[in-house]
Amino acid sequence: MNERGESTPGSGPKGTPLSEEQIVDWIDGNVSAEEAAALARASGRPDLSARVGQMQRQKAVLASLHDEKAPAELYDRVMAAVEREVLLGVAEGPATGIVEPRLRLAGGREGLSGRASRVVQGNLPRMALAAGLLLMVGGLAYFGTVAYKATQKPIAPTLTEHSAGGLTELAIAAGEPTAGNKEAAGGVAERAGDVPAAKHGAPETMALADAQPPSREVPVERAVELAGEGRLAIRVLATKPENLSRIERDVSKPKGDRQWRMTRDVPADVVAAVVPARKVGNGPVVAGERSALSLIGPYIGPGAAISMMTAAADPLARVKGTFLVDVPVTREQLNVVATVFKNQLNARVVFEEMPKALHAPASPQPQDVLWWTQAPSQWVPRATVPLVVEQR
Amino acid sequence: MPTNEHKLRLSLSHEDVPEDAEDVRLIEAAKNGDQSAWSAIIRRHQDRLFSTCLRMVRDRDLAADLTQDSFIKIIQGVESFDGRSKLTTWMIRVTMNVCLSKLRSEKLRRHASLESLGGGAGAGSLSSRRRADGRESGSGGELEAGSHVEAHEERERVLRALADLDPDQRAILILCDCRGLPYEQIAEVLGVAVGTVKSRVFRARTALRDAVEGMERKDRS
Repeated sequence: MNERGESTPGSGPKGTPLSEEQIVDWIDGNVSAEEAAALARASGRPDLSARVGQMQRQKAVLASLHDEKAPAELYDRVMAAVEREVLLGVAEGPATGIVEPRLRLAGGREGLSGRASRVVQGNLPRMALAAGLLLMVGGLAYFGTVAYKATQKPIAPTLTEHSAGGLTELAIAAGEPTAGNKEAAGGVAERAGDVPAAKHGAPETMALADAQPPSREVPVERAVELAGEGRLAIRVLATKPENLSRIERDVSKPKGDRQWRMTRDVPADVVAAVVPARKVGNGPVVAGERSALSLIGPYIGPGAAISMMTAAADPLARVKGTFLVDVPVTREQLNVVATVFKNQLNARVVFEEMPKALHAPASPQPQDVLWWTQAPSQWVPRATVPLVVEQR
Repeated sequence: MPTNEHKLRLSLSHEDVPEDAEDVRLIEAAKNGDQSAWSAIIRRHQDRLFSTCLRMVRDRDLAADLTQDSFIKIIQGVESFDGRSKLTTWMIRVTMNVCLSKLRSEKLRRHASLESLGGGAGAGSLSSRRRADGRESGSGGELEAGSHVEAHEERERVLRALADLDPDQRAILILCDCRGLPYEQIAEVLGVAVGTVKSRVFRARTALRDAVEGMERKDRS
């Protein structure tokens, strides 16, 4: 039986099944008449000889087919296709044996003579490729240097300029009047908004990332006080921000002893107040400005590399998420929040003092509203604190 | 005991030697950058490869395209030809792969064109050439046993049935029965063992016979 369950020419109800190879040899005429008769008898199929004869005739029909004459134009088509392939660079010249067209100078003049000329001409494509690569690498190096310099401060401004400019930018981004920070301004007791920029000799605006005053970082004890005043922000400088979704997932699940919550519903003014702002106004080229570089090709060639570099230099691009954390205003609970982000994101967590209260909206839970129904030990004020996760 | 067909194949393989030697010379010249060698190779083999393509796809235009593609692949891949097999075998292998790839991608299975299968059993046929060369004495004798009309009808049915076969079965019958390649070469072409080739040949012939019988029944009714 064959694989379709049908009776093969070599098997019968009473006889011995013949192998496929035996039948093939028979059809091919590789067995003598006596052997063929013996095979037919052994198979128990009286019609086997006729079936084999039928297949032999069919084989003969196929063998009688003559070679078709190829179309006259086939040779030319093949040669043209081969040349086309060579010109497109799909096929290697030496491998195909097809001689590539070579550049010749008019009038038989040759800049180089003899062997040198042949070497140069023979390697023209490679030399052109090498020159192109060199140009590209040089261009990348040049534009890379330009982009890198753009991310650096052209001239180191004074601390006062840092702080005042930074706060001006912060206020503009928040859409509110400019506010000063005495500490950040190095003890200068004046409102930055009241002081004309020209007075400081600083640009009208300055990127917040450039103007982050180190004095904003506060210890957890001070953070507790600031949280009560609505002037605390938590900045998470993460090396593994990709784990952020895991924290969000975990926090969204109810857990008996967890006393803090987290939401992504952050008002725009709060976001503007806590995230680094883009550089605007006069100054060096940084991300966010429509520079000539961004117009010539941000997606291809050196332009793509430049785009990537400038994006990496953009402080705003480092922000991976902004949240509001609803937390009991205790040192212990603030540390709990900080520890979770520190461990999960392999981060440095910084408590920062904000220049003014942010009025982040609270999202109270029933137990928070009904605090008086709980044990006095649970009577702890809560605060809503903005938290920013940045790529470290 | 060697049969006539076996003798024929032996004699063919001996007579192939000068042809193979010429192929080897040409391919070496082509590898060394002799463009005229490629011209000679293409001229020598274009009919054979075109016919193989034509049997597979049954369309002259498409067969010409596939032959062209095959030659390009042959030229591009000539460095991979190490000379262990005959150049003809290697070229047919490339060509068959091109055809099967095309057939599988476009599922061209049921577009029989008897005209494109073309050719008669008369002058120019493989069997005729063999007889003319005095190398064959009985292999094609069965074809002449019946009347001319019956032979013609059977031939038409066989060609139609071949066109309706699965491409892989068609390929092995073209290699074995149309081209007359030895099983060892077919095994090289298809990259399988000789035993597998024989098994596939048997099944393809069985399928062809069943298809022809089905047509005969249909024609009678």
